[in-house]
Amino acid sequence: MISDALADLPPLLEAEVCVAGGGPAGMVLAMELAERGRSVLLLEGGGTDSPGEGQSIYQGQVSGRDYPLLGSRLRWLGGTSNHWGGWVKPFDPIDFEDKSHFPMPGWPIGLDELAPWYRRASMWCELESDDFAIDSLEPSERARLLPLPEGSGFENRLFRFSPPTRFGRRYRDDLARNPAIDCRLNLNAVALNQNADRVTGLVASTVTGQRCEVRANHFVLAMGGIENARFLLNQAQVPGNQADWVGRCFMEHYGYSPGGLLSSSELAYERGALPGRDVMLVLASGRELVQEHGLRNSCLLLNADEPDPLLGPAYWSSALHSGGPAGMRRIGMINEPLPHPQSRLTLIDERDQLGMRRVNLNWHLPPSEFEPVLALFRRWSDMVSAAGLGRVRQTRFEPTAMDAHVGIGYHHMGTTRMSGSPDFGVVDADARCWDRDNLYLAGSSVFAHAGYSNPTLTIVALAARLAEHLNGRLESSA
Amino acid sequence: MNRRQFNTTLGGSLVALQLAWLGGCDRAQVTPALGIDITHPDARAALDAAARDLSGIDFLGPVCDRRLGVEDPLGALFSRIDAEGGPLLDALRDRMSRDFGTDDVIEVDGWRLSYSECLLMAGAARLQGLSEPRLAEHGALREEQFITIERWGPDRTIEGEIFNPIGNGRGGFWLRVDGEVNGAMRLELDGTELATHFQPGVITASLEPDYMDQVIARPGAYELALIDRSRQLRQSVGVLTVLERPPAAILIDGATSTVFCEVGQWGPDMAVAGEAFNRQPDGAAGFWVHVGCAPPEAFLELDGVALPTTIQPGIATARVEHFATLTRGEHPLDLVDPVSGERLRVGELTIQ
Repeated sequence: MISDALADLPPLLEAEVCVAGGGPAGMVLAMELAERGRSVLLLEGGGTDSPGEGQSIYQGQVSGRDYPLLGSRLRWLGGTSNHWGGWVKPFDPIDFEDKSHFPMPGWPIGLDELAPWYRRASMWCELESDDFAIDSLEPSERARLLPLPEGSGFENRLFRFSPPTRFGRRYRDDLARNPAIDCRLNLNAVALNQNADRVTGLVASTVTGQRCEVRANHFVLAMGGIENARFLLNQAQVPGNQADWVGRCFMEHYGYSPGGLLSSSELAYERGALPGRDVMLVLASGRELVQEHGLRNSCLLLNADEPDPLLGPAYWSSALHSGGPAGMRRIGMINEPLPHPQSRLTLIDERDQLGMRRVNLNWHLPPSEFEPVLALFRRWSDMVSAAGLGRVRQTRFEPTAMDAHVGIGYHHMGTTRMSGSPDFGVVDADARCWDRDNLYLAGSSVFAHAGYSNPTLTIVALAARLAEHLNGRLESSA
Repeated sequence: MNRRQFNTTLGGSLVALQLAWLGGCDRAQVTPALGIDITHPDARAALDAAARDLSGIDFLGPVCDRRLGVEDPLGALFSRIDAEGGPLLDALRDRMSRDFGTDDVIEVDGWRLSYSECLLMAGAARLQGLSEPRLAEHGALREEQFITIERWGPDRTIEGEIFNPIGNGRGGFWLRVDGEVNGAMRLELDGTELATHFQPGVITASLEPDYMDQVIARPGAYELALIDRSRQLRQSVGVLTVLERPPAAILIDGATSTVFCEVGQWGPDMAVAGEAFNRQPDGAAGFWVHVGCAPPEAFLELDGVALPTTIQPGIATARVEHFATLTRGEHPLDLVDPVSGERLRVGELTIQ
């Protein structure tokens, strides 16, 4: 059932699980729980379409590196999936590990734990296949990738693409038809009623000031990578903040375009290059480069480009090199961010229409963060050249200055991080707040490390996994 | 003189002699292959021949020559490669690879070249008479059908009408294609590059609002072309025709329409009771109305019943699913714009 709180709002709403936030995480969690027979109250702060002025609730201020707090987020059913590009890939195994050169520990779970949920998430994201192994390509297709020599330090990796699924549009009817789901639009979580170790209720409000109380066995915040932390910080007692981590470790995938590659024009890395397949191939750091050489798990994208005026494609076509058709590729890098404690959200005095304090984002991405990117690129460049796979032209040598534009993915991650100990995070391995027995967080705010892979598949996988966990708890308490 | 120097000198003389004998023939016929064993007397000549054939080095060749300042670059290169035997090609590649491994690298404007490779380019430049670095010019795009375009659109609009509108004053084209696409492909309208996007099998491109305004303000023909910058290829897609805007229609109340142009021919205007006029494949009846311009939201209305309508430049079509219920007599057919509220009388359908 879907209803509009602006039209009708009872003073009390009840369900076994209350999910605040109707983006991919909240919607999938609600539908997975409903499939297990659980009653779910799903609160969506926006409506079913662009809210116009209502979007301004996301307004905030930034310090540190500039960041589009408003434009990078969408506040209606389906959340940021409404402007999602559809890139999909599970995190690599290395993304879950502790890394000694990272300021914060890795995930308390590994890829094995998430693997079955990634398959489930692939279904929700409407993928053609849930197989992300390079071996899923035909030998003739693999022959169009760079034959990386043994010990090169790099690996070919595969992205797939969602249509992209606009969760609000795609699953709206499923929400509406499902009797176990009570979806309330234009209703915002604004406060938690809590005691020392539990949430006893939640206060929800419309932008016009109508309020209601929510009672549930379990509460899940799925409001987005920034809003989850902002909501917690707005509480008189901040859940999960026993070690002052709420709002810290904000991460975003950042880009860098270091140059170009002259190589065979038969290479098939970019989307659309392999007929009949909606995939994109990238070159990514191997485990050794990250763990033993202190680099990041970044990836390189190769896209066809016009010939270079200094060294023409004919050079690489000569018998000395490939002997076949050659061309330039523009190199783009998507880079793994550090979970840096200084990269954080704090509250400012100004309040939004709901009375919630707005947020300040200090995105800590100093120029020094580009040094490992440049080092990785240099290593890759030397590998490719030494292996006779191509020649590289580096066109950028300097880190991106603080006041210069840096490409981003609109991926807000890490501000309520998952950890193996309450000393290093906000939620435990089940995504439960360390100090609140029945308060959970869903979405990219729980990411501990973030690799280079787009977050949506992992967000959905974690939501599906959380549904299984909550169902188990509800069963055991029955 | 060691054995290798002797062989090289001898080989060079023999090759020179061969070239003299075979003057006028295709050089490739006498160029010793790079597969030649490095200890073979002709190995150095093979290297020279390969250098002569090396293309794409108009800039880096002369730069390497100046940068290294070596008297005999190819001689220096030959002496750097492994003399233990094996194909010359393998030895050259191995030498370059080892250069990169030992950071024996020359950087020129960001290009990272092995030292040996730079020697080769320098020697090649000398043999080819390239003394000054020269940037490669892209030259004219080559016309070639490099991708199969199955369908595309739109191919026409009316003066002042944004075609295929996507909001914010933008509109654009779509192409359904069969073949590989790449990020260096761009659609161009009348030589202006458009923001181009790719999905498997589909290329779309949009016109910025200012450019859209400029195009639809001038009736005429605009060529749409697909460019592949990576291969310097150009493929004509077709022509967008911007038709002159017909005169504004006069509404039922005598006012001049702000959204509709004059109606031309339309039909059918007569039918037999119970029979599907202008029968459609699914059995429904249908109308067609030539109208110079109409907003995309407009629809046809028969007897006050809104019909499922398709508006395209110059024509509106509609399905009449309830044709069997139409009684004998006159049935007014109107074109309605729900936004402005304007109603234009098309005519009357006579049922006999």
